[in-house]
Formats: sequence, structure tokens, C-alpha cells
Amino acid sequence: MNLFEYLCWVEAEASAHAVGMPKTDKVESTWQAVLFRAGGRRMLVPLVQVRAILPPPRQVHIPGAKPWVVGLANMRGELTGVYDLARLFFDLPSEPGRHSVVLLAKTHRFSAAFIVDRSYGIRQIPFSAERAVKEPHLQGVLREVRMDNDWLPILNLETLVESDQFMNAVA
Amino acid sequence: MSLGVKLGGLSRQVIVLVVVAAITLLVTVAIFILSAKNDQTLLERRLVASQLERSSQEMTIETLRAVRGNKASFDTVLALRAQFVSDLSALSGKDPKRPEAGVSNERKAELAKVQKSWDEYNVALAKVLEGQKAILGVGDLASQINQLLPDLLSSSDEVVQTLIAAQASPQVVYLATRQLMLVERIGLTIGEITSGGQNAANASDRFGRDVALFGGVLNGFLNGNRMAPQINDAAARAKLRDVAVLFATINQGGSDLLSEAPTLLAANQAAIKIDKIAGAFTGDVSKLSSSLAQDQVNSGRLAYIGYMTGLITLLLLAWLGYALVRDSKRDQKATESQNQRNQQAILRLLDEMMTLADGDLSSHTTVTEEITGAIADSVNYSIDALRDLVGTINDTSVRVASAVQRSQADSRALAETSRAQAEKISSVSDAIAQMSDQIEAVSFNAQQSATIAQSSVDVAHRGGDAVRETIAGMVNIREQIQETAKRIKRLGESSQEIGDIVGLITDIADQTNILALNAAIQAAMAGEAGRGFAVVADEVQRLAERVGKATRQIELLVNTIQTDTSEAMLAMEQTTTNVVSGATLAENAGKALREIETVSLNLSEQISEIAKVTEQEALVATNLRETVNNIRTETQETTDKATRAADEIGALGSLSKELNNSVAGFKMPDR
Repeated sequence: MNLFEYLCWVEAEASAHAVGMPKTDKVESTWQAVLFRAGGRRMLVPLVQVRAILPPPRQVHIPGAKPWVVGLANMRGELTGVYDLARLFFDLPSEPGRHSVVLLAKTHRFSAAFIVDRSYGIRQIPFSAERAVKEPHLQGVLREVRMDNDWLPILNLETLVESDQFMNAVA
Repeated sequence: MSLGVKLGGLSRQVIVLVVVAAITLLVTVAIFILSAKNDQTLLERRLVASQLERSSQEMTIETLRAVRGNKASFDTVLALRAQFVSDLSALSGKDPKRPEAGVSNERKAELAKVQKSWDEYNVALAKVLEGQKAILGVGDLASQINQLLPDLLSSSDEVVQTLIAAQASPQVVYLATRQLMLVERIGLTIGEITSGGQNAANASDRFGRDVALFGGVLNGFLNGNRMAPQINDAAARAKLRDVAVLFATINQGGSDLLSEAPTLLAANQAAIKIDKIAGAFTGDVSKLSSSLAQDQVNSGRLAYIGYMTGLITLLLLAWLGYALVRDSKRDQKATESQNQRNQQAILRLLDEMMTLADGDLSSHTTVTEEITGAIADSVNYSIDALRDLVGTINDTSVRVASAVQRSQADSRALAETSRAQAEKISSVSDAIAQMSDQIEAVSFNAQQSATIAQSSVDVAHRGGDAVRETIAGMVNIREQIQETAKRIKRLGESSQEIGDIVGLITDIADQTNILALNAAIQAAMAGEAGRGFAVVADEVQRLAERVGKATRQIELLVNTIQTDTSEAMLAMEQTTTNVVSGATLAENAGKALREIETVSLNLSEQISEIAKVTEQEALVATNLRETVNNIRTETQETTDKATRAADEIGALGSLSKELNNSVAGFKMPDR
């Protein structure tokens, strides 16, 4: 037995007796998303697409706009359009409650904020738990993820903002 | 009668003699007691007076010795003076310890004379005693000076010899020789002063001048003055200095002696006066003493009278003895002749009484003037009485016999009746006994009923107490429920406040959650650099979520609490209403129990009254039964006695026959 073989043998023994040591299993790679509720349904949005989550601001109503366009508001010094996600997706008026927040989207072209019923916080989403939506009927929702025995839609804000339906905000 | 007269005559004479002798004996005893007492008093006065005489003589002697400087004599004089004053006051009757020592009125004049002499003597004596200190001091000083004088004389002599040897001037030798003479004269003068004679005043004057002269010349020898020139010879001067040292002591003593001289002089003059008046004073005292001695001698005369009365008593006693002997002899002769006469009369009477002893009541005895006359008279009276008695006995026995027959028949009838009565009484007694037993049974039942009624009262009373306790308990319950309701209401209010606080916490948790989200977003934007911060933000967000969950649970719990509280309040109000109605029901029950208690009490009292009355009746029935039993016993006894009386009456008939036979032997005079 040469020295290299001896060292290999030592490593094997050490690995065999290493009880209680940190696991060396590979951690499943995840990504971060914000879980929220809108129109009575829970949904997810990737964290990287959210610039901030804020209380509903004072906004100015815009006459002649679609019903899901709530108005314009001053968000962190920028003129931002405020939209009602529930009305946009489900044609249901959002119920302004004490948990209501706005998701400020991180977009390139203009800033947009979406009113939701409440935000549940950040969730770690394993890549293996998600799948593509079989029959997409919501703008910007292409994938869904398995969580708490339910499939939750993943909202891609960039896709939504770029969509024609969203762009056609004037009634 | 003649005997009594004789005895009376004798007694009278003897009694007179006894009384006179007793009186003279008593007088003798009284005289002797009086004499002895008087003699004792006079003897005491005589002793006091002789002590007074001795004190006066010794006092004079001791005073003269004291004035010559004898210290012990002063103390003796003081003691004698105190003794003299005490004795004198005793003779004046002023000493409460010796009240009998006071002299009689005849001797007051002599005592006054002694008192006067004593007053004069005492004044002089007081002056002598005042001079005690001076006399003793001068004596001491004189003896001191006298001790020094020989030394002074020899020193001065040596001075003269030294001067002659030094061939001093004749003037100086003369002066030195005169100093010798002065020393000797000083010694003589001191002797005169201390002797206290007539020339003491002159002597003290001369003493002063001699001392001054000696001192002046001595000073001149030493220092030179107009009295003497200074001596320069060394040897002479040395001797002179010795002289000066001795003289300094003598000079000091001399000046002290002269200062005491006036007091000494006065004391000496007082002593001279005492010496002069001592004769008269002692004479007065001696005269008083001899007078009192004469009084004591004279008091013996009273005793002579006592001896005379004693002699008279003895003579009376001798007379009494003679009288008693004479009377007894005379009585003896008279008694003998009387006895002879009496004996003859008694023999005669006995002869006459022999017939009477044979039962013959038909004749009488002879009554004479002799001593038996009275006895014969009495015997005749007895014979008459016997005649009457025998006659009466004969008549009575006949009457008794007939009466006895009737009484016997009556007694037998009475016995029969009593027996029948006793039988009836027995049946009545049985009936009463039965009735008494029944009454006792009734009484026992009534007592038991009373006990039961009393226990029912107690039960009702306890029931009332229980109801009252129940009411009190319900009131307590009501109050406690009200208190509990208040607390539960406060609990509801507190839970409301908790709900408000929980809402606030929920808001804070929501905001924290949003902040954590934003922080996580910012960290994600920072890329690799913000990874650590992202972990922290993630943790903060989880914490905020947990807080939110917890607050939701709290909200649920608070709501549940408030609902339960409201229900509890309603339930308690319902309970309070029930308790109030229960208390009212209990009060009604209490009222009913109180009425039951009152009724039971009345019932118990009435039953007790019945028990008491039946008990008394049972007692009366028992008494009645005993009384009837007694009557039955007595009736039985009456029956027995009646039967016995009939028998005894029969015996009485035979006794009357015997009585009649017993008097048949007497011979009665013919009617």
C-alpha cells in the first residue's frame, strides 16, 4: 500500500464515522418569489420583478380609463400608474382592507404598481416544483407551482406589462 | 321554846363581843399600815436631807480644792451641784419621780431658809465654775514658768560671774546682780498669783513690772539702751543670748498669765466668799436634816396607839371565850332533865296505841300536856280518818261491782262494732290504692307527653335556625354572584382592550412583514453582496408572519372570551333572580316554622301543667291511701283494746270483792 492509497483509506474511514457532521447532500436549488392574494386567489410573483411592496398610496383618478386602472400616484418620487389586479384578471373589484398593499413592479419602460388583497411574504420555490400552465388564460401567467396541495399561478410582471391587453388601458 | 330563848340570849352577847373585837382588830391593822407608810415617807425625807447635808459639805471642800487648780474637783463640784439641786427640788415636792419626798408644812420655813442660803451660795459657786478655764490655764502656765526659772537663774548667775571675771564696771555688775534678784522675785510672785490669796492683785501687778524690767535690762546688755549699756565681752554675750532665749519663753507665758489674771481674781474672790458663807449654809442644811430626823423619830408614837388597840382586841377575845364556855355548861344541865320527862310520856303513849294495832278503831288515846300530847292528838285524828275510810271502802266496793258488770257488757259490744268497721275500711283502702295507681300512670304519661312536646319545640327552633342560616347563605350567594358578575364584566372589558392591542400588534406585524419584503427585495437587487442581508430579512419576515398568526389566534380567543362573558353575565342574572325567589320561599318557611314553634311551646306548657297537676293528684292519692291504712290499723287496735278492756273490767269486779274482804277485819264502833 503506497501513501496515496493509505490516505484514501483514512478518508474512507473518516467518512464512515462522521456521524452528526454537516450533511454533504446537495441542496436542491430554489428561487425566491412573493406569495400574495388577489381576487380571492393566491398567486406568486418572482422576487426579482418586484422593486418594493408598499401600502396603498393616495392616487389621482384618471377619467376615461379602464376600470382596473385605479389612478396615478407618487411612488418614491416617480409618477406611477396604479392598477387593480383582481379587476384586471377576474373582473372583481378589490376590497380595500387593512392588509391591502401595492406591488411596485421593476420594469424598464415605466413604473407600475398593482393593488392586491394582501402579501404573504417571500417563499423559496424549488425549480422541480414548477411546471408550465397547460391552458394559459391569464395575461403573464405561463407557469404554475405546487404548494400546499394546490397549484398556484406564477405571475410574470414583465410579460403582463408588455402585453397588449395591459397596454390598451384606455377604455 | 325555852331552848330558843336561851340560844338567843347567848348569841346576842357573843355577837356583840365578836363585832367589837373585829372593829378593834381592823383599827389596829389600819394604824400599823398608816404608821409603816408614814415612817417610810419620813425615812425617805431624812435620807434625802442627809444626802443634801453631805453634798453641801463636800461641795464647799471641793470648791476650795478646785480654786487651787485641781481639775478633777471641778467635775465633782458639777456633779454635787446637780445632786444638790435635784434633792432640794425633791424636798420642795417638785420632783415627779419622788413625790413623797416633799416636806410637811411645818418644815417649809426651814426649807425656804436653806433655799435662800443656796441661792446666795450658788451665785458664788457659778463664778468659781466660770473661772475654771482661767484657773487651770494659770496653773499650767505657772508650772511651766517655774520649771524654766532655775535654768534662767543659773544662766543669769553665769552672766554675773563672767562679767566679774571680765572686770566689768561696777554699774554693769550691779545691774546683772539685780537681774538675779528679779528672777527670784518673779518666782515668788507667780506662787502668790496661783495661790489666789488676798494679795493676788498686787502680785500680778508686780509680776508685770518685774518681767518688764528684766526684759529691758537684758535688751540693754545685748543692744544698749537707756536702762543698761551694751556689753561687748564675747563670753558674756554668749551667756546673755542663752538668758534671752529662756526669757522669751517666760515672757510669753507671763503675758498669757496676766491676761487670765482678772478672771482668776474674780474666781478667787468667789471662793473666799464661799468659804465665808459655807458655815451658815451648811448650818441651815444640817438644821433641816436634823429636824427631818426628829420627825421620823416622833412618828413612832402612832405605833404605840396600835399596840394598845391590839391589847384591847386580845382582852375582848378572852372574854368571848369565857362567855361561850359558861353558856354551853348551862344548856347541858337543862337538856338532861327534859329528856327524862319525855321518855316517860312516850312509854305511856305506846301502851295506849297497842289496841289500835290490833285493828280496834272503837277507842281513842289520852291527850296530855307532855311532849307526847300533840302525837296523841294526831293519832286520835288518824283513828277517826280510818273509821271513815273503812266505811267508804265497804260502800264503794258494792257500787263498783254493779258498775263493772255494766261496763263489761258495753266493752264487748264496742269490740264487735269496731271489728265490723275495720273490715269496711279495708275494702275502701283497696279501692283508693287502685285509684292512686291509675293516677300515677296518668301522671307518667303526661310527663312523657311534656318531654315529647318540649323536644318538638326544640326541633322547630332548630328548623327555624336552619332556615335563617339558609336565608343568610342565599344573601351571601347573591352578593358573591353580583361581585363575580362585576368581575366578569371587567374581564370582558379587559378582553376588549386586549383585542384593541392585538389589532395594533397585527398592524405592526403587517408593516414589519412589508418592510421585510422590501428589505429582501433590496437585498436581492444587491446581488451576492446582499445575500447575508437577505437571510436576515427573510427571518424578520417569518417572525412577522408568526406574529400575525399568533395575533389571529389571540383575536379568536378574545372573541370566544367575550361571548362566554356575555353568556356568563346572563346566567348570573338568572341565578340572582332564582336566589332572590329562593330566599323569599325560605323566609316564608321560617315564618311557618316560627308559628309551629309558638304553637308547640304553648302545647308543651299546657302538657307540663297537666303533668304537674296529675303528679300532685297522685301525691294526694298516695297520702289518702296511707291515711286510710292508718285508720284501719287504729280501728284494729281499738277492737283489740275494747276486747282487752272487757277482760280487765271482769278482773276489776274480782278486785273490788277482794277490797271488801280486806276491810272486813276492822272492829268498828256501834252506830
